[in-house]
Amino acid sequence: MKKRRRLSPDTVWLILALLMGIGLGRMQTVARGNQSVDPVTRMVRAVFLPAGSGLRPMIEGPAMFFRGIGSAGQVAQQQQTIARLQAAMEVYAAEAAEWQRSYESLAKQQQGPNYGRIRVPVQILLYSPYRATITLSKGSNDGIEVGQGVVADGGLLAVVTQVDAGRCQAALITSSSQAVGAALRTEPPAVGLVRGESSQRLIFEYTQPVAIKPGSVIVTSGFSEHIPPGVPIGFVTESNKDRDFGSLRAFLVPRAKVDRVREAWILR
Amino acid sequence: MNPNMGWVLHGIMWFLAGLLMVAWPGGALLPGGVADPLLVLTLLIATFCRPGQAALWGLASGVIAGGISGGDMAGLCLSRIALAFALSMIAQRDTALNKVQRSVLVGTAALVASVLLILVSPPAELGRVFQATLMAALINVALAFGFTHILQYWFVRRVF
Repeated sequence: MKKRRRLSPDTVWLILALLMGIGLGRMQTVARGNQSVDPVTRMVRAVFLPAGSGLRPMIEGPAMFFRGIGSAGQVAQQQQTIARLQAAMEVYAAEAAEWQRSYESLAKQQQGPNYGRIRVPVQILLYSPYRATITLSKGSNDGIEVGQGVVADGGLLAVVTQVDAGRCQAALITSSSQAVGAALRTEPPAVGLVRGESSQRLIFEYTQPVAIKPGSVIVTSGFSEHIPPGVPIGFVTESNKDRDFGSLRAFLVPRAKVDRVREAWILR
Repeated sequence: MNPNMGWVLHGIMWFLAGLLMVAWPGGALLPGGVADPLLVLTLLIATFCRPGQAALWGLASGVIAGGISGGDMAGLCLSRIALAFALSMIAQRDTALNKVQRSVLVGTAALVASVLLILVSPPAELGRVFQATLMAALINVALAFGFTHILQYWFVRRVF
């Protein structure tokens, strides 16, 4: 008769452990199938996760410290790159601020008074100092007519003298051949004509014996079909009386100067 | 000296190793390989105790590792139980293992455990995982040497 061999305690424990391992694995699989967590995993996490998470800063701090030492060269390079980028950014910011100022300046010009007319923006294509004329980028196709005023830089710059389909020519108010009806808004108003004397000076001739102080602003009188009243022409620098000719004169500095503008508006 | 001190010390280290898995999940001690102090300690204690006890330590280690990482618990448990049991049987034949022998034995067993796990649950990027496993084996040998240095004093004195 065969003697039945008994299992050793170690083997029994091994079999039990293996069975438990298989059982736990099965439990985990079933729980996952139900989209939940098995109780053993939940218990392990309840014990280890809070304490382990608390330890994390203690572990990560020194690890980051030593990693920082190891990557010091790289950090130095990154700092140089950042410094370069910062310098570039400052240049960009200065440039952007300059553009912003230009934009605001243009916008301000666009929003200037229209004196009851339509402002037609034009570009100054040509400037002839000898003839004191400018050629502008709009013509009769845009409703431009002879005699209309050209404003820029907050004042009257020129008067349209010739028009074709796509362009027009205007005589500057500093031209000696050009005369514009003008007035000083006093009570009673001084009304007369402004004509050019030189590129830097205008003459205002008027008849009423009115005292005109230096610094006064002479504007258009509006006694014209095309040029509206109130457009600034220039500032008075001095005035005198010419008794021999029976006229009164004042000298002006023009408000709008052609050499500092690139865009203008025709008052249509 | 209290002869149970080794068990207490091992228990504390084993618990801390579990906490380390949470506190430093990507805790690579060297580039390319991740150390597994829980597995190393489990296998190391297996060389000091009876095979039945080793199997239970293997089970507990698999439960903790599977519970924390959310990995395949059955695979982890079975591979660790088998390894701990086998290692304990080997160590029982020769109680005069020195620190280096014990460390290499544990490190090799840790490598076999990882390979077993790969066989039980094959990962998607097999080549990369195998490379990391080899690297981790080296790290685990170094870890095992350190742990052996701490624990052997208590257990070997008790045996002899």
